[in-house]
Amino acid sequence: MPDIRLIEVPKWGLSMEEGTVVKWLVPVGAAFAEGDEICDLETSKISNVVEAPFAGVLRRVLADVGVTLPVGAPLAVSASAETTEAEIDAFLTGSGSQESALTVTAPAVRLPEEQALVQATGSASPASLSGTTDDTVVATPEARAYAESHGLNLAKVTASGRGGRVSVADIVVALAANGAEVAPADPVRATPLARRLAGQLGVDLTAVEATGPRGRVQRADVERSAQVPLPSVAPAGSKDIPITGTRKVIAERLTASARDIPQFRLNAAIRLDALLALRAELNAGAAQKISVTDLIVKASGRALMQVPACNVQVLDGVIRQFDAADICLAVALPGGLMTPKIEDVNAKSLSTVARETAALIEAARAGKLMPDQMTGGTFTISNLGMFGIDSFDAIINPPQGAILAVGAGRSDGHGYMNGDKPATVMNVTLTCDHRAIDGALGAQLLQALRETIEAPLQIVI
Amino acid sequence: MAIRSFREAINDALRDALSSDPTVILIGEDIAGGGGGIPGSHGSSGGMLGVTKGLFNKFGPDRVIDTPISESAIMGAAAGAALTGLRPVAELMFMDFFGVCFDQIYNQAAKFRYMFGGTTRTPMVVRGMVGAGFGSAAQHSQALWPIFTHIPGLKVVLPSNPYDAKGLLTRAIRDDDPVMFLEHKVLYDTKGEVPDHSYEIPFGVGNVTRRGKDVTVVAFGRMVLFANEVADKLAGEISVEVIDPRTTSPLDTELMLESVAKTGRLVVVDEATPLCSLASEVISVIATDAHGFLRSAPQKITAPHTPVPAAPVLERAYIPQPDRIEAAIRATMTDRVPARHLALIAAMNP
Repeated sequence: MPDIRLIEVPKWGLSMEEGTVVKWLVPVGAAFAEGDEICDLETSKISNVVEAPFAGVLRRVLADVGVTLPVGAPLAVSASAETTEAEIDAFLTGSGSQESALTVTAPAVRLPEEQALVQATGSASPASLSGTTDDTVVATPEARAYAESHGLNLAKVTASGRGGRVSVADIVVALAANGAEVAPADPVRATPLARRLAGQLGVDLTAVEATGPRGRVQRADVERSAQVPLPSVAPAGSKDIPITGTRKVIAERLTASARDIPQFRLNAAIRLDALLALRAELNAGAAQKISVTDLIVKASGRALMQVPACNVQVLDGVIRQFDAADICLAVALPGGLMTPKIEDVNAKSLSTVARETAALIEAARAGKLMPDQMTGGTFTISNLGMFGIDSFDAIINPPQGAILAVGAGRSDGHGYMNGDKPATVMNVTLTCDHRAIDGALGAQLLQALRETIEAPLQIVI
Repeated sequence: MAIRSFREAINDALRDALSSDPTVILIGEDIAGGGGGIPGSHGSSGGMLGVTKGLFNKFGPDRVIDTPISESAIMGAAAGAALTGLRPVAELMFMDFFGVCFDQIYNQAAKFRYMFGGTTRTPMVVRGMVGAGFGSAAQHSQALWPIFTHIPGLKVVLPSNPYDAKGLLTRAIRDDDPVMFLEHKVLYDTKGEVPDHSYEIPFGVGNVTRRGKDVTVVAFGRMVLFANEVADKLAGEISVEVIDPRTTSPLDTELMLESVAKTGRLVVVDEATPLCSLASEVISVIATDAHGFLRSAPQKITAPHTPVPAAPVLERAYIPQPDRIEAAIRATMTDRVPARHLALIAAMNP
C-alpha cells in the first residue's frame, strides 16, 4: 500500500461532535510539514485551525468549504506525489479492508452515488478488460448493456454482487483500476427538486451554474437560470423578447383553448341608443360614472341568468353550471392581458358593479390582483370599441363556456332593421364552447343580451 | 420447453426434490389429499388446490406426512426435523394462519443459527397461499410478505410466474436457512415455459421483465403481471422498465438502483397494505441511495390500509389494478413541484 493517509476532523474538547470547513489553507498538490496549518474549521463554539498531524502532500480535499463533518471523519487525503489517483480511489473505497469501518462513520468517503451508479457512456475500454461477455457470466442488465456497447468481457471484472453478479459499480472500479475513466452519461449533478423544477420550467440543467455542495445544481440555481433571458441569437436589427411570466401563461392557456376547444361564433348587431340614453341620464351629476362596458357586464349577467345553461365551465368530464354569474373583463396591460372577475353580477346594483370594476382594473394596473380575483367565472367580455374596432371575435378563456367580443357603436344612417329610423349599432360576437353550448343555446343567450341592451331599464331594477 | 401451470411447476419442484434427496419430506394439512371416502382414491386430490397431487401415492406416508389441523405442530415438527438433518417442506395452506404458529417460525427456526453460534442449520421451507382475488375474505386473502421480510433469519420468496416458481422452490429446498415460499392463489392457473430438468434461481437476484428507459416499475408477485401489461400497453409512448425482485428477503436493491439511475423515475406496485411495506422499503432505498437521480416523486401503488373485502367489486377495488399503475407512470412523467411546496420553500428560505 502506498503512503496514503487521511487528515481527519480533530476533537477539540469533550462536547465537540462536528466541524464545518471554513477555508482551506493548503492548495491541492502542495506539500506540508507536520504542524502546518491545513484548514480553518468552525465548531458550534469556536473556530480554529487544523494542524497537520504529519508531513505529506495534500492530494485530495474530501470536504468543500461549508461542509460539516463529524469528529473523526476524513477531511483530506495525503499521499506522495508518485501515488496515482486510482490508488487513492482504491484506498478511499476501502476494498473491504480495515478502512471499511471508516466508510460507515464517514459518509464523505463513500463512492459518490453518481459515480457508483454511473450510466453507461464511457471512453474506450482498456485492452486488459476488452472482449465479449458470454452467457455464463452473471451480470445486471445495465452492466451487460455497458459491456456490449463497450466491448468489455465482464468475466475479467471482479464482481461484488450477490451470487458473484457484476454490477455497473464493479465496472467503474475495474475501469479505474485499469487506468480508464468513465464519464457519466448524465454529467449533471442535481438535487431531485432541481431536476423536477428544471423539467417544469423548461430549463436545461447542463446550462445551469451549480452552486450546491460537490457541484450540485440546486433549486435556486434553476430558478435563477429560468429568470435570466437566454443569450440572444436575434439577427441585427431585431431583438428577442423571452416568453415569460404573464405572457407565457397567456400563450399556454390560449394555445390550449384554440387547440382543445371546438369553438363557434355568433354575430349580432345590437341597437345601442336606449342604453346610451340611459347612461347619459345616470351619469348626469352622479359621482360614480357608469361606462358602456359596465352596462354590458350587467346586461350579460342578466342574460346568463335567463339562459343558465350558458352559465357554465367545461371541466374534465363535467359541465359545471353556476347559480351566480361571475364575469371576467379583459383588461389590456403593458405586460399582457389580464381578466379580473366581477362576482355575482346579477345580484349587484349597477353602481356596485361599476365601482368594483373600476377597483379591479385599478388593481390589475398596479399588479395587485390576487389569484382568486382572476380565476373562475363562466364568461368573459372583451371590449375593443374604444379602439374603433367594428367587430372581432375572441378566444375562450378556459374553462369558461363563452366569451363576448364587443365592437364600437356606429351610427347607422340607413336605418336599422327594415326601414327603422337611424340608430347607433354595435356588433358583438359570442364565441361558445360547443362541448357545452349548442348553436341554438348560444343564440338564446345572444338574444337575451340583445333584448336587455335594447331595453336597458331592466338592468337598473 | 413444456408449457406448465404455476401449480404444476411447484409440483415439479417438489417431486424433483423428493426424488433426488431422501432427506426431503413434506408435512401439512391435507397435503396427501382425501378422496372423499372413495376406496383407493386416497392421495388423489393433493391438497386444497391440488398442488401436491400425486406425491403421496408416489412417495408414501413417510415422506408426505398428512397432519391434523394444528399449525403449531406442523411448524414445530418441521423446525425440529430441519435442526436434526431433514429438509422439511411444511405447508401452511393459507399463509394467513401463521398467527397460531409464528413462534415456531420467527422466534425458533429463524433464530437457531444465530442463537447456537452458527453451529446449526435450519433447512426448512414454509409454503402457503397468499393474496387476494378469490373472494376468500379478510382472513384468507392477505399479502403478508412485509411481516416475514421484517424478520432477520427468514428468507422470503414471492414468485410471479411458473418458471421462477420451480427454480426458486428448488433453491429454497436446498437452502440451509428457513424460507417462506409464498404462492399467490390467483397465479396457480397461469401458464408458462418450464424446463423439464431441475434448476435453481438464486435468491436476491431480481428479474427485469421489461427493459425500458423512462420509468422504473418495481412490482411484487402478481403485480408483475399487471406491470408487464401496462408496460406493453404504453410501449412506443413511454418506455417502462419492470423489475420483479422475486425474493423480498434478500432484496435485490442493486438492480433497482441501477435502473433508477437510468430512468430517474420510480413506481412501486405492491398488493400488500402500505404501512411498513416493501413499497415503503423500495422507495426508502431509492430516496437514500439514488436521491440525486430522481426526476420526479416516486409513486407508491398499494392496497389501502384496510382488511381485504370479500365482495368481488370491493375486492377488485382493493387490489391495485393496471389503470392505477398506468396513472402512476404517467404521473411520474408529468410530475410538477406542487405550488404549495414552492410556497413552503419560499417561506422557509427567505
